[in-house]
Amino acid sequence: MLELRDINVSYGRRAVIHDLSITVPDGKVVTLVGSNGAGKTTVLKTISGLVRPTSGTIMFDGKPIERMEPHDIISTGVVQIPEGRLLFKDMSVAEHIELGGIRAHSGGRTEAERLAWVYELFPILRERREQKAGTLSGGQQQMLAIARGIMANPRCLMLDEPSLGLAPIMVDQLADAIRALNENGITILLVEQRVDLALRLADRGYVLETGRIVIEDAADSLLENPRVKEAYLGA
Amino acid sequence: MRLQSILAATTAAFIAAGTMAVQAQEEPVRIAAIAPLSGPGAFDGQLAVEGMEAMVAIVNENGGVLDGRMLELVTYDDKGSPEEGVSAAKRAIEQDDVDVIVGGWFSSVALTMKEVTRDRILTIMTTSQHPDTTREGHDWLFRLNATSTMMSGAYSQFICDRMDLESIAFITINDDYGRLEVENYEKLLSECGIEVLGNEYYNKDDADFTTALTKLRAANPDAIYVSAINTAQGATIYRQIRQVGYRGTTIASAGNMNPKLVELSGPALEGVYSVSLFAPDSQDPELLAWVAKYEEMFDNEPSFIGSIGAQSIEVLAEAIDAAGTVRDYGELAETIRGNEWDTLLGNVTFDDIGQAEQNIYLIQIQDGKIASVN
Amino acid sequence: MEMELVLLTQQIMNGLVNGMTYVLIATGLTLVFGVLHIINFAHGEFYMLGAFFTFFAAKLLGLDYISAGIVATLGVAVLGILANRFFFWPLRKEHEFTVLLSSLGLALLLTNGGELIFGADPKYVASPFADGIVPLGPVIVTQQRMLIFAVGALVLVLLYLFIQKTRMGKMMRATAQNPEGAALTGVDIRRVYTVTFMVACGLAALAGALVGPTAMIFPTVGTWAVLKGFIVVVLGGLGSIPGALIGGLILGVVEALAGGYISMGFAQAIGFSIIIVVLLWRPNGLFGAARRA
Ligand SMILES: Nc1ncnc2c1ncn2[C@@H]1O[C@H](COP(=O)(O)OP(=O)(O)O)[C@@H](O)[C@H]1O
Ligand SMILES: [Mg+2]
Repeated sequence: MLELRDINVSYGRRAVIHDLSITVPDGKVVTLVGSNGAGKTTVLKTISGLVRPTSGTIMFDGKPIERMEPHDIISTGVVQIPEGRLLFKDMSVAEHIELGGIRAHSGGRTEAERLAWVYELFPILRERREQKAGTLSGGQQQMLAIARGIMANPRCLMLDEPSLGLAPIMVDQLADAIRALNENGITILLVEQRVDLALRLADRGYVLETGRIVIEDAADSLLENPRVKEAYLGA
Repeated sequence: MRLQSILAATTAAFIAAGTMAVQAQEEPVRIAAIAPLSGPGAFDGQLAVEGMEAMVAIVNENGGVLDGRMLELVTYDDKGSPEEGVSAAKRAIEQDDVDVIVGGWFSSVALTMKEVTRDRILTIMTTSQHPDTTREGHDWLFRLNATSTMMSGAYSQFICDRMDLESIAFITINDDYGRLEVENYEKLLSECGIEVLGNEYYNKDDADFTTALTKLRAANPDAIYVSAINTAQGATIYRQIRQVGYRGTTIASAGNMNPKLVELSGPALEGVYSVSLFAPDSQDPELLAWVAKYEEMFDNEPSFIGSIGAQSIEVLAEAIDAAGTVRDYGELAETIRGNEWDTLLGNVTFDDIGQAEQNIYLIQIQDGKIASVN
Repeated sequence: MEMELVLLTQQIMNGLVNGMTYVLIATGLTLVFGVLHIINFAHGEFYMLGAFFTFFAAKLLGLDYISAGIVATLGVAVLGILANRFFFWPLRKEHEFTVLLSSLGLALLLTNGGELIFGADPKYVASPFADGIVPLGPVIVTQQRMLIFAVGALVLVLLYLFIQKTRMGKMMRATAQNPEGAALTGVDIRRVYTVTFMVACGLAALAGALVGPTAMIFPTVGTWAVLKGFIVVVLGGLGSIPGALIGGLILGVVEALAGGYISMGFAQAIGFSIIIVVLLWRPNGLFGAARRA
């Protein structure tokens, strides 16, 4: 359903993504892994419309989205939970959840249903409704970022290094949440440096090195791939 | 005197008419008009240049000068700033090779500009009131306005004799001119027994004077003397004097009254006194002719600053004819100093340092009009 | 009341009213900085335009003062939209300093255009409230100055509610705190730009319409306005609306007391001195948060 074809991206004169093609099939979990600086965040920003590709197409549901504005892309159901959360630190939890819904894709769950779901997934957010985002713990901030994304009613949810900075117990909770989202019909594109975690959650994986896809395979095959093992799994 | 001037004008017209046909193609006499044409003084500069233009038109209709040479104004913007005044004068002399310069509407500009024109070009300074403009001037420099010292001498006489005041307070612009004003009037008015209850200085970009005026009102003087050289600030001060609840007499500083100020200040200026070289109800035929020409050419009302501009042209035109030269500045300056000139503001003479001596009139705002008080 | 106390109260009243005009000017300035991180040197020119539009709406359309002021405010708010559309929005990806310099250029353009179109002569915005006096015991305030204070206070309350409670207000706060996060949440950043400039320019114009009748107006008056605005914004903290409120009132009162008890000649210098003292004590202003890296 989400398909990137021959995407090139530059910052100024510097090209950082080269002829990249990725397919994220409906209902699946696909992961994009790679070391720091490989270009993973740039790919997600390009899908979300924050960065314009110099060439290539991005199709969602058969329609090109690479020239659309970020808020219009969200309306089609392509939603990103960005690296570093990018919360509004002086705004309350409730305000984040409200803003999350402003461009919600229509169809599927109603706003009330999504709200109930969010609080069911993350009961702590209900308790902290009036608290400012800046005063939450790292794990709670990540929950809030996901909650904000869910409120947009995603059909395809992209998560950029959601495990970054989380305590191990929180990482497990996060993995459960991602699984739950996928089981509820949301397609997932997961970007991670924690390659083991990502591949265990995913159906398919892509390995990105300096802006190029170097390996692409089913997730369980990648777990066994010697090159992946050596470079990313510390084995 | 009147008869003499009419005679002179008629004669001039005669001669002009006779020679014009032959001389019409001669080079014009080019006069640099350096005035504030942008920034806060822009309106005053506009009035000044318009006054000059109207007089230039009159002179040219009468055949110009020196057997048919026309006058031509070349305008420069000094932005009311000394640096810009200097650079305008340099451009006028070095690039444009003008014949004479008229400028110096604000004292700060006159004081620096005179150093550029020193011993290079004949210069007429206009409304600048600072004594040093002529006291430290040069052989080819003249100034038309009375100095603030001359003004304050005459004005304090009027104030002491006619206004029946026991006390007074000042609100004054905080610059060389303003400080000199306060010094002069405090001395002169104290001498005739008027008690000075206070002075408040303001800055040239202030827009609210209520704090200073509140303080002056609290001192409860019989009169408040307002020293304001810029029309916008002046009008604001006159209005705010009433708005802070002061009900005593308001006195406007010398030489700064103009129809725009009256219009902007509304009822706040009614009954207020000032002194001026410009007697508004004067029936001088040259003045009437200039007013008529001005109203034909421009939308603004003729003003004092415009009449000083006109006077500069009138004196120059007559003196150039009398001297028979423009470029022999020594000869021209000698001629200006050595004669009495009959102008739209009455008769003018110049002393050794180029300072004009002319009539000073007491004026008052009556029914929204500037009127003479006799 | 005792004489000295009356005078003190009078001066504080004078200062509060002047302070409220500073607040109105500074609020738009701080809003544009806070939300969009733009330092807009042309802000004062929208104040100037507000005053001139009021003048011409009354003169040419025959409107009464209040209607003319409303028309001017709305008209300049529309100009704010255009300024964003053709000027600030296209420059949004440029360096902050480039935008700042460009806004200086816009200020010059508007001032010179103003001189060309409105003429250099000063004008007076007539108001039926200009000379009417409201006696508060022995303290004297004109109706116009009461109006400035009352409208200023009302507008600030409305602005506060707008920013805190409405959807657009929340989108503006989100953009202020994290523009990229806001875009990824679905905030239409371009609309936020448009609305922010519309509100900021409208506020500046409203200040011009209100202050117009207390002084004379001329095309360069915006320079004064933007200078006062910046003093207040720096004092209160860049981007902080409560900071603009407190900063503006403090500046007004301090100037009035300095003018009333020392000399008006010093009042301006004292304005700058309090800035320096406050900045030494709190480098980000009274209400300023440290800027994000
Ligand atoms: N805004 C930017 N301007 C210029 N270069 C950038 C920018 N953002 C990222 N880069 C560069 O692009 C490359 C890819 O970065 P990024 O997409 O953030 O990688 P990753 O997410 O895989 O760590 C890096 O070399 C980085 O330095
Ligand atoms: Mg990254």
